[in-house]
Amino acid sequence: MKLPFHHLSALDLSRRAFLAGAAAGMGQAALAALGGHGRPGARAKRVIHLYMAGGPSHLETFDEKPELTKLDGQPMPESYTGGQQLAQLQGRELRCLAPRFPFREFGESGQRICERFPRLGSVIDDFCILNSLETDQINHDPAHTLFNTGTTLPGRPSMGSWVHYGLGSMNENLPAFVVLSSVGKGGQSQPIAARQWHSGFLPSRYQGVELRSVGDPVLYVKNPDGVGRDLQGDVVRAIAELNGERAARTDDPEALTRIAQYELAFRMQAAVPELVDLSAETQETLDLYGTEGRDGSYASNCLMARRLAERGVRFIQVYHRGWDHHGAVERSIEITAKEVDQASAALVTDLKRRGLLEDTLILFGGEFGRTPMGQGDGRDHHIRGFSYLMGGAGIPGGRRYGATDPLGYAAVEDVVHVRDLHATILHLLGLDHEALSHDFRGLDLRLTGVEPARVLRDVIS
Amino acid sequence: MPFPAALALILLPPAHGSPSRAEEGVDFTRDVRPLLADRCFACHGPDASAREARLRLDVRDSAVEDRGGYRVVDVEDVGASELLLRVRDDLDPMPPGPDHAPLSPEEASLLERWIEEGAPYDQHWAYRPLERVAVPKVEDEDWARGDLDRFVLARLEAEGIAPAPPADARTRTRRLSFDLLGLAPSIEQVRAVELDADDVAWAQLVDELLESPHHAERLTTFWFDLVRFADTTGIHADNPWNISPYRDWVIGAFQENLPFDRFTVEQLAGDLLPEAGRPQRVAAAYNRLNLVTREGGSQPKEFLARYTADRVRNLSEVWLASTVGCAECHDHKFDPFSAREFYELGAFFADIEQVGVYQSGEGRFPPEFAVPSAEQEAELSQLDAALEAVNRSLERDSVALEADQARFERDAAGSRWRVPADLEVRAASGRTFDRDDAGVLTTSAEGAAEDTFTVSFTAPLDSVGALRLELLPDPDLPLQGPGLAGNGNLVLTELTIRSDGEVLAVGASRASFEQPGYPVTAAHDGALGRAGWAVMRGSDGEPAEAIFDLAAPGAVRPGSKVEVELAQMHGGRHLLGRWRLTVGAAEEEPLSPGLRRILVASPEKRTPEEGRLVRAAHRARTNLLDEERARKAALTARRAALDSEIPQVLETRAVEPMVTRVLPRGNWMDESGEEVLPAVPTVLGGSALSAEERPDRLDLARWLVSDDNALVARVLVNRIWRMLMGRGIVATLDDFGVQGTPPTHPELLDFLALEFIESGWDLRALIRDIVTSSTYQQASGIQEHAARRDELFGRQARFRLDAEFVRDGALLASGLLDRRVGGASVRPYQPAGYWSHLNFPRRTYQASDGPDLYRRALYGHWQRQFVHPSLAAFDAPSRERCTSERARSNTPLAALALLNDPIHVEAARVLAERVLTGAGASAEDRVTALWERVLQRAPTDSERARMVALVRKHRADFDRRPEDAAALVAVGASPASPELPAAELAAWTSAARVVLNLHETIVRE
Repeated sequence: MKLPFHHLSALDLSRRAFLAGAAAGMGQAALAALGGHGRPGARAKRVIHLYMAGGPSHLETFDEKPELTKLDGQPMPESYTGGQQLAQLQGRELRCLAPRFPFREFGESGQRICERFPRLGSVIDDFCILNSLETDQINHDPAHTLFNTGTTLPGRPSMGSWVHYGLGSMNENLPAFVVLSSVGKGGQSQPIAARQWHSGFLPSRYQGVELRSVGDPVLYVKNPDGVGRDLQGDVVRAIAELNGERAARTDDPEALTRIAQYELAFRMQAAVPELVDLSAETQETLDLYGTEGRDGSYASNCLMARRLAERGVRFIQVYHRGWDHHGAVERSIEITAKEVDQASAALVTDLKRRGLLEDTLILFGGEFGRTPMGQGDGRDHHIRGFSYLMGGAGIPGGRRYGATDPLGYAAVEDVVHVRDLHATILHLLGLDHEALSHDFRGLDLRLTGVEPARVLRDVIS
Repeated sequence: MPFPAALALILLPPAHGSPSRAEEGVDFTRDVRPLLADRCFACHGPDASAREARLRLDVRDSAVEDRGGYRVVDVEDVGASELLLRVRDDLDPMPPGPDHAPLSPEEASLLERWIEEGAPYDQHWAYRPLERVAVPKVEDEDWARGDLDRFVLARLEAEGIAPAPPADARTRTRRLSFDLLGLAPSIEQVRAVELDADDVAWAQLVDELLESPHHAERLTTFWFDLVRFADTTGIHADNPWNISPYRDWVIGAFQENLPFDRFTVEQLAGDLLPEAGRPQRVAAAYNRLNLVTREGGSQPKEFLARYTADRVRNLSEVWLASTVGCAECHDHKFDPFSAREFYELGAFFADIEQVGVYQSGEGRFPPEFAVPSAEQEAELSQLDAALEAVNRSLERDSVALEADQARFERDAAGSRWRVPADLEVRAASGRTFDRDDAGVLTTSAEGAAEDTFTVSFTAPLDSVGALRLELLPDPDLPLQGPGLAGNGNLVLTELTIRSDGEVLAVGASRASFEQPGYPVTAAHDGALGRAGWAVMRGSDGEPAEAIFDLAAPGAVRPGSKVEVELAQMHGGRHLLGRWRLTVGAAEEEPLSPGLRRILVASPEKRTPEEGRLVRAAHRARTNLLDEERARKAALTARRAALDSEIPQVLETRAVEPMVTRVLPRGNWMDESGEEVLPAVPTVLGGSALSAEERPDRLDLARWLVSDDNALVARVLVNRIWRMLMGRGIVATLDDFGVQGTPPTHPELLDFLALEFIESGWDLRALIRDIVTSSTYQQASGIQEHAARRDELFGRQARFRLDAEFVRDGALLASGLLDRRVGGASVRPYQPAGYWSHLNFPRRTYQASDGPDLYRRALYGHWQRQFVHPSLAAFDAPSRERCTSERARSNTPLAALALLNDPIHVEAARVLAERVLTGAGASAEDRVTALWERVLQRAPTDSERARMVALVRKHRADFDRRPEDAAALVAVGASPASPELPAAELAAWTSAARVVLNLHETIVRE
């Protein structure tokens, strides 16, 4: 068999080979979506999760609690806390800590959020504020695992992997699920495990790929020292030709898939440097985000998120590891707000003016919230009530959904479990959370697990 | 909904030569149970809490019970069976609801035929006792090398499919070597098999490979995926722990072919064996491989519950291929395991000494123990004897020593500390201080939560060599102090000394007390932040003091202006409350503050213990004992060095078992569940354990490998079969329950399991039997009836090598591979910043050096949260849980790793050097050498031509760009051969990269 492999941009062969490989293992849904768009009826084609890792205080962001101010320094009423699981405050004396900052009205909708987030305030009309989230896990590592995979058992796919599995990719040169992360200066930088973007029992091609700010942007994307793109191309071409010759002799479809994957890898080697090269961005755009270039900051990662969205990346997670404010919550919020406020708002503005906001779902929030009780001058982890922002994808903005009790302890109105958020994300992408499942050890497993989960119809319509 | 595999068999058209399924009759296990399990058990199965209408379809008594005029299954009046009426009820069909697929007409009539035949139930195949069945007769007796082949061939013949022809000698030899060693064979091994067509050469090669230590390494890789072996804890900070000796034990066990029953018992309960020696205690580290946390704020009870559940899951996955883990929160939906039985299994592990949340700051996860080698042990006892002798000599009595001690006490008693005459103090926040005549300062309580105090004075005429900071109790301070924080504590985060504005470094420091995690050294580590010296302890109002020696005692000139800055930035008013700062001269052998107190007091008041301390202090200093002390120091240093070289391993130590309760819905906060004792699930013959005493892990382990447990042998035999044939006889390796796939060859599975047990659980014999069979030696690429052949083992499998063997293969081909067996984990090259997501502490990756860089991947540090990226790209699992079957993906990330990871580039360059120096001078000869080293065959003409052309082009390119050539051949830690022209070597490195990246190179066929 003679292969038409004269130049690497000739995609015919590899696309066929890729499809052959795909047919061998890819889910039907994924195969159907290979054309590269959203699902029929879907409102979102992609998701950007601005992941405020460490557990932001809802009381100093989006959930205003004047009653808590009145009780500052007073013992927390036991009717709230009796018999509940706490983290580092377990067994300590519990006293209320007043919210550290005033809230004020923003936007045409007049939604009230903490004054330390004026830029987010300026785009608050594009968000629905969810004030009634709850989760099951009170420590960072298990809470992240629950938030990303729906369970704390290791080995389960993360939501980005589920989405990639369910919808396939929309681009040919970049991974479909990309993770970025930055470190903040307020609070502790809690670790994040690669489990958070793992594909679990799904095939590993659905795994999230980290876009790094240090060293190679994607691991091993750089040619070996001394090897230019032309020479690397010679090597890849020779590999492909010899694999093709062998494949013809041995009838091995996997060899054809390998040819395609080498070609994709070679294209990625060109696409990734182009992706991370910000020289084509205008000064106005850089100023909008508040970044000077690719420096690993949250601001530069937000800009990168927009570039990924433009290039058809399906699921983008932007971690900011700076929200674990056990002490000095006031100073820490000031610091962290400065780190995320401008760039988060810039991303919304930028997506909007490029016409991408309408089919991009944006989430802003962390793995849990923080206690209304003080831990010294900080706040401990809290799972009974916290807040999220949800915007884009046609979600009516300038609204608020759910509420916590007067002290911001427990979600009491329209309670949203993490599972409900999962169901809603999938729904917006045109996926039914009960149907998107995969057989593992005799069970049909899904992101939302076995407990009931609901799509937040009041939020999205 | 998963498509029940058994049903797929039913719906297939009857295969040639075999009776149709209808004629054959309905088989409950094969046909009926999977159907009932899939559609009915969720509400009418083992889970008592979800059960509807008191009906269990998994139990015959319940199904056929008279329910007041009707029966769900009625064998007398088949048509009246409620089961049939309901599944065929168009208006209100069972199973109900939109989520459940109704039964097809075929499925319903299958149930009808089953009831007509009397609705026989039998035990699920996996739990049935092993039965020896007659070896089937086959037509082609010549093909069968043994009974194993007859079982396979009989099925093939029944379906009219001829076995695949034997693979050619090269393919077979590569397959065998990859399967048994994880390494390619040499071309000489291939030629030996090629030359000698009969079975003798093959059997010799098999034996040679089975006895190789690399075979033990290969099996260890297999085992480690199951038991989730890793070098780190897996949760939160993912800290490293000490586990390498367990790896050595596993390798050793496979090397000496330790019977698998023994292998099982020693890992689960080696510590409990009456004859337990060190190897057995190392083996028992298996019980410590569960994920553990150090995350602050975690509740110990929650994590103890997790650790138990983790162990139950692993035990049941590895040995029982059962999803008992599903019963953590509720009775199993499909298999006969109750939640209670889950916790009863957990109770076996309740005796393991552990804590729920491990402490930060210490490198270890206690308990652990040292595992010295024989040489290390010998040196240890030698050193200890020498130390004892020198200690005796140091303790000897003599008149001269007595006189010298009296002089020492006189000299030392005079206090060297004083308060400088012009001492002043101020606080950054403007706080004020009260000062008494003795120079003791009392800090005002009002003011900022963080503060910095600055003490200034003029250096006295005699030199300043050290500072002493005394912390004193005071009834007015919170909890009597000595600090201002609510708990009486304080944190000195940083102490800075300036002389005329110039910062002077602190050398040594010591304190009379340090709060764990807050050593005094943290107060002069140059790091800002919240860490520092703190003094919190159980009792209120305890004094403490610290002494800080200047690194260069002469640096303070008399008369200069000295400023001592005491930063206390911890927050929460962790500030000095009542305190005093004094200065003193430098000392050659500083006395501890406690000892100084004793020496100042009158000698008559000393307790005998204090007397001993003074004597020891003298003997530590007198020059009469200089020689002995030097010898002791040398011996002690060597002892310490040796101690740090001796590996430690996590220990499984049995203590009084903690109480185990059923946790309702898995909720660790709910204590209402009943208390349970260790027991094995009823369906697996749980009554086998004696009820007289509380059974322990040893009973559990012995029960697992007892003759009446058929499951363990079936599970293991199936895993080995999959390793060698690419697919299990039971395709779902880790689910032998009703939702798993039934065996394609149940008789063969039982035959192998029985042979295995009767051989004395001889793993090597099992592997030998399989790899010497005709079944194993078939070709892999046959396309005719491909899918059916895969199920019937009518051809061999073709698959990509495991991640570790991809790396090992490149090292082997280049000759870089370091073949040492065992030892501590090593660190291969890894991209910088790959661990940037880790914290507590932050970690900078430091690669090993020298030969450690080229060891087999099995020895590489396994970071659960961040598995080495080059291995992860080829589907190496995180080892957070049992992995029976790795994915075999084919991704661009894998291509990038193999193309660009420096280890693969370096291997290519060294391989190129071999070819350039070891083969003939023509390019054609060199390509041949390249192919023979990597692929054990000659290149085809077109392959050779392609490579020659590539090398020619790249030679020209690199000639034009010598700096590129130099850069490429410099990749990796091993130096490039200086004799070879860089451009030539670089061009052949390109060729070697091509061959190391070929699909054929990393695939076993």
